[in-house]
Amino acid sequence: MSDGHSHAMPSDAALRIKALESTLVEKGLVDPAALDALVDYYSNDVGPRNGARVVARAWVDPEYRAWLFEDATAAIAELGYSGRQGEDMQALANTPEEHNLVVCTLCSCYPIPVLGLPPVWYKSAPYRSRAVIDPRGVLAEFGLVLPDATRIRVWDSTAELRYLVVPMRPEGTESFTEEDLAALVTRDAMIGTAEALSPTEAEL
Amino acid sequence: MNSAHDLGGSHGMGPIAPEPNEPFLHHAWEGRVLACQIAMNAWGAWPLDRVRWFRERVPGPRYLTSSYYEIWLEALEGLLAETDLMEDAQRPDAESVHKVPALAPEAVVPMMLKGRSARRREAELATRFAVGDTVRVRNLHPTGHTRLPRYVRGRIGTVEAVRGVFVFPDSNAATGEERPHTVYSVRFTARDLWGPDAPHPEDTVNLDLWDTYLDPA
Repeated sequence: MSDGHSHAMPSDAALRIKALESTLVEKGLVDPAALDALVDYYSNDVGPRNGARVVARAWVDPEYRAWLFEDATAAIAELGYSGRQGEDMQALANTPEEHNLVVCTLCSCYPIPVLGLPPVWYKSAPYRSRAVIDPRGVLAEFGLVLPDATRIRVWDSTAELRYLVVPMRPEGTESFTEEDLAALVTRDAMIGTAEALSPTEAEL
Repeated sequence: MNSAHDLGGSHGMGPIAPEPNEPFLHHAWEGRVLACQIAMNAWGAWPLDRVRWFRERVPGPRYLTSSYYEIWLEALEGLLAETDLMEDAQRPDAESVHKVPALAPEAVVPMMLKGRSARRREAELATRFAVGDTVRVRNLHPTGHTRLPRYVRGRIGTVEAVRGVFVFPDSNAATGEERPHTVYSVRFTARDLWGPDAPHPEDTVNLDLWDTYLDPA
């Protein structure tokens, strides 16, 4: 799939959705203010900072961590994140022995309450095709090379379970607050295409 | 259906090319497509599985050369064309949908936070497998919607977890029949999927698969 960036003029799709929205409004099927509220929800209420809070809590609180791997849906809801495309969550623990990577080969399934809308690459053919057959090549493209002894575990989101990777806590963060730690947890670290940032990388 | 959306294991799709500091939406129209789809879902005229099926039915050559929200838009247009929502909305005496007001702005956040789980309490079909069982994926090629990717059909894997009972997408997309039954996390090794020459044969791929996709092995 193309990235859809290259339209200088209003694209065909832009004109079609404008016409369709007008028709739906005219027929009373959508309230334009509700459409604005939906865009606002996706832009502001959900995003990787939510998932980062979950991961940081799991790093500092062993009881929370145990709960997260036992019942991710409930543990994540405890921090206020729930709902559409996060109804049934699973958390995956990265360790020195195992590294987890999440994909949806069939469409674009993604844990929206904790990560927001997926990036274009996650939804596109190159990632969806290669993540399952060449995960180490995919990781290398993101600049992540793992030892041969670390088993790569890929999770193809074929049903309604949604996956959140809990990366390993970086070294040198013993004195960090939960908020400092959350700043080390990137979107890609929670998909599995990266590790958490080191304090140097995060410039903390 | 065996169409272009079923991408797992394909070669030659090009570099991944992540965009630094990518915005959630690149164009305002993408947000309108997204919002119109979610707002129209609220009428309950189609399940999410049917929405996915309509996206898969975008012809393969166009699917691979369209942007994500272009595919969404084409599917939404198709869904609207097959339902009576547009016609009903024009009839002042319509008894069905239009006596209910459209999704209100203040209802958006509660609706999103609630979601709509596909998990069900009761299974309509038997739960035949347990953790540790070896299973062979059925060699099925349905022409309708399925969540069984081609790259695992016929392959042998191990049940790693029992996920619970979920609505069956194949029937739900076609007719709205939920036929809920058990989903398992099935683990496959790279060797099982890609053969003895797989460069890292002990790496694994897990898929969440419905009981009816599987046979004992």
